[in-house]
Amino acid sequence: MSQPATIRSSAPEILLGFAILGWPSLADSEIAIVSPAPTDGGRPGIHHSRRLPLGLTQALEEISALRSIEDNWNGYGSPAPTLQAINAARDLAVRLFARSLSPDTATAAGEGGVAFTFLLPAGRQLTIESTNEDDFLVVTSEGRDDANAYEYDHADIDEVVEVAWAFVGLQGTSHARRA
Amino acid sequence: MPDDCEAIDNDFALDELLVYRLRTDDVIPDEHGALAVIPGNLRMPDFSVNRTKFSDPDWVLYPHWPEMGYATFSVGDVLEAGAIAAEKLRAREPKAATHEFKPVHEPICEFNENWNFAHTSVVCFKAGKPKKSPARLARFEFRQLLASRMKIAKRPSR
Repeated sequence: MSQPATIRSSAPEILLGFAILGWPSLADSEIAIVSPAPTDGGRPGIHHSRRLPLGLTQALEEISALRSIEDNWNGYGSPAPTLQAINAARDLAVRLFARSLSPDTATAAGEGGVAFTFLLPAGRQLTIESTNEDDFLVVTSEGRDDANAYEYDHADIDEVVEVAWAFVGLQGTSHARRA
Repeated sequence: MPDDCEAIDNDFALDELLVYRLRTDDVIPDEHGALAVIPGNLRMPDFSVNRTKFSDPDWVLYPHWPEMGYATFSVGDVLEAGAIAAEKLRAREPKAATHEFKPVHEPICEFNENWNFAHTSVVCFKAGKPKKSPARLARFEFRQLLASRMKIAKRPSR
């Protein structure tokens, strides 16, 4: 029997995903619903990234909280996200959740903007940034020696979601990541 | 350590470790529960680290960040990640200027609590000259490759 598939996020998002995509086929798999605790109990404006276990509403609140941070928020001179970057990130979050794609974190990006991070099995990673340069920057990685970056205009937001969907590789399931 | 803070030493051994300070928000548990560095949080260029030739790793937490953690990576990791990113750039843009990522010793010689002889920056040399604006996609790919090489030596608690 294969390892249990892991489902993150809350029931409404899962149900939304299933409604859109159909119920997953998880023959030979077990489903474990995991609601990871936030990595900190921080306050908006003090801590700038969160795990996103609470679903879309909470995710949007967390992204909006990034409006309160200031330049040099990390002590390394990083600029605060612009309002445009935050708004585009909120738009992207809605579309990602609509496809049952829930990032592991939303953070203020080191280069300015908002970064969504997906940590996937076998060392694969996906980063999507809504940048302060008013576009999206996507980086996929299959492992330690692999990285591929792509730029997308805001108008191509649906393409960004499709790229994320394809890369996360849900193997016909919704919200499930096989361990 | 040299008495002269401005005695710059750009002789880096491949196995010399560089130290990057981390907040709790800079890390995330991977599928095995081990912490990984979030690539999107790294700032490139102007990527500041301490070099261990002239400091203990814990010094990166001085003076204001005792509860933070840090990750280490080697000079060889920087060169390796940079070489991969540069090769990808060449494949994408054959006429692009050569890119080389490497550490540069940049002591902070303020005679106050910010004094830091070990301060080093990971810099992109574009056509042989240090540039603050390396090719964008190469920069992001390098950042991903470097983050994947970082080892968390002290877990942040703040």
